[in-house]
Amino acid sequence: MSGTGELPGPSDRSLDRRGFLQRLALASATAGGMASLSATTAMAASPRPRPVVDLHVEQVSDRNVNPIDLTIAEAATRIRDGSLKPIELVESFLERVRSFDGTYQAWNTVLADRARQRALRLRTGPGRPVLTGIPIAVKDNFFTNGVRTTANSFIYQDFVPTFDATVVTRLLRSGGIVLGKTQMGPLATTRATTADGVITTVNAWTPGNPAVYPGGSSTGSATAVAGRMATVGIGTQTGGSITIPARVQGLTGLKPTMGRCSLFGVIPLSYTRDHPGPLARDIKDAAIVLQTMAGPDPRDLRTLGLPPVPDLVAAATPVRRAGRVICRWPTRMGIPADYLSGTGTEVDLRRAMVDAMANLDIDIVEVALPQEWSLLTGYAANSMRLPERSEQFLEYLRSDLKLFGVSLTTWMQGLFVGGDEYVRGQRAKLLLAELVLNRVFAECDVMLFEAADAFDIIGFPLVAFPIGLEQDDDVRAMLPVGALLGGQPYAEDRLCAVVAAYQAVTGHHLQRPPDPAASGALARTLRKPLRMSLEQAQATSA
Amino acid sequence: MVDPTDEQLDTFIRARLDLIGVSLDDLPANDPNAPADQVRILAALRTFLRTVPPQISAFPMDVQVTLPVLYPAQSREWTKPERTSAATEPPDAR
Repeated sequence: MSGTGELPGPSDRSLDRRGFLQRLALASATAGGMASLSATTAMAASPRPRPVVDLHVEQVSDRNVNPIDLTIAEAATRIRDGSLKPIELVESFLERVRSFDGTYQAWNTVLADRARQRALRLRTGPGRPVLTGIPIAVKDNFFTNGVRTTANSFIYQDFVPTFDATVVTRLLRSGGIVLGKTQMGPLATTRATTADGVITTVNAWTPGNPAVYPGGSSTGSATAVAGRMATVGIGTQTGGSITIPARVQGLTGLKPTMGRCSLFGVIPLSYTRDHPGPLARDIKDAAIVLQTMAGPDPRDLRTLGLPPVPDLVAAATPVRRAGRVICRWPTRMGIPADYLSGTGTEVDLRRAMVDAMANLDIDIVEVALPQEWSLLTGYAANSMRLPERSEQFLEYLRSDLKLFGVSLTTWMQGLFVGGDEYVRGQRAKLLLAELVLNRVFAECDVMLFEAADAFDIIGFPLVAFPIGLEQDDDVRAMLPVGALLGGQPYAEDRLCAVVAAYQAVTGHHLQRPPDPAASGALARTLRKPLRMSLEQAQATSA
Repeated sequence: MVDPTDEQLDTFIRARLDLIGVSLDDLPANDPNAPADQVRILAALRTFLRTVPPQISAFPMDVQVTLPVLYPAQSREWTKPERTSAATEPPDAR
């Protein structure tokens, strides 16, 4: 077998499903509850972050390729061999920002001078850290030392942190260049708008039409990458905010398991559901960035006492047997009963994707979702996240409700969930996790889903990846279609392996949107701004 | 079960907000052009109260086996057998 050689089994192989609930109940009853248990066990078993030392690049990219089109793996390889300088890469992106961001509106702050200085200062060559010279789009809810961090909110409009978020620190230590801070839904709720609801960032595939949904709330990072204004972006997901923009903008978005990435230095939305993660051009890039970001952080207890970060970059490298790409590990892929039913382009693309997966020696199995699924993932269960935002922003709610602009409703709703209901919601969460582990993952290793809600609730990992383009007659444009694949806790390596094999035999992740036409940009500037309503903000809130 | 009237719910909402120091009077009373106003927020909260608490309260769950857990993914790791075996084996009382 070629392609990084043998890796140990994926991180889900040691899963002990059946005893999970019983152990949890007994441990909590006898050890004084989860808090005491986690405090005593977590600190002793904190693995160190795994540095990326080998990109496993199979061939160096054509040197005539425009630097804006390079993946991290390609750009990093060229930077290491001296055929591309970080400043060339930075200037290439800054030129596109100057040319097109008036239309895209993906950025809040572009750190042009800072990025140039860093690009010129970085030492390059063999052995340098993996992200050396790679420009990164950072969602504007990650603290950045000395740089305004607004979360597109009135509350933080003048906030300038005095330190970097842990994940930003790790990206910088790996040589990354923060090109700027990106637009987002106010306080990470909806698609990107101003605090009072004026729509900003557009879908990079329809730059002249802001009515087309670009995903939320990491919209700015997604559009920055899809529009080739940065090599990669990072975002956060509380309710689909990485995987949805990835799906609708032709990117690969990886929402890791809760606890994989520190939330220290991230403006919070939900204690239990905020997940930092990458928005990338392919799974290799997503793996490189996640591996850099992930790992324990003593300042975030949620990251402690967890399995070591596996070698995600190796896992995201396709393997071949007798010249044919196969999935790195024997894998069963579950599909919900109605996943392939119906007609239309999207269903056709799904069928083609499933067929391609089967050709990679992945076993396709139909898995019936538990009958409690809609109850445990529906509106009421999903609403149990809301008191978490209300509680931590209470002083601002008391100060002036207008600070929350168009996204106020869900903060107010969170004040009307009773303590008993919140507790029951947490019990429902454990029940959902048990059903996923004991029933869904009893029949498969990874599972295709329509929506991210269930795995956002229980903190299990998800990857979104493009599976083709669909003609949208209403907007007269080709729009990306993405699939959503869920895995077992801390088994991001399995997700990477599946998508790496798929992307090795398909080209959907290589599709790029056309540049905005000058007429489109002009039309955008002349059009009356679109505004999101209070009701829309509530309905689409993360 | 009695369905409270809009007026009863509005009174409840305002009383609850008053108790924790949050004032709807920060918002315009009725201005569809404003990002938010009192009329729309009250309507959203009434709908929420009529929907979410009743549904959550009706969730059927066994109190002996389904405990409240904020972080199911981490909890699975924190309660693996090698970490909990001492705590899960009660002393033999025979």
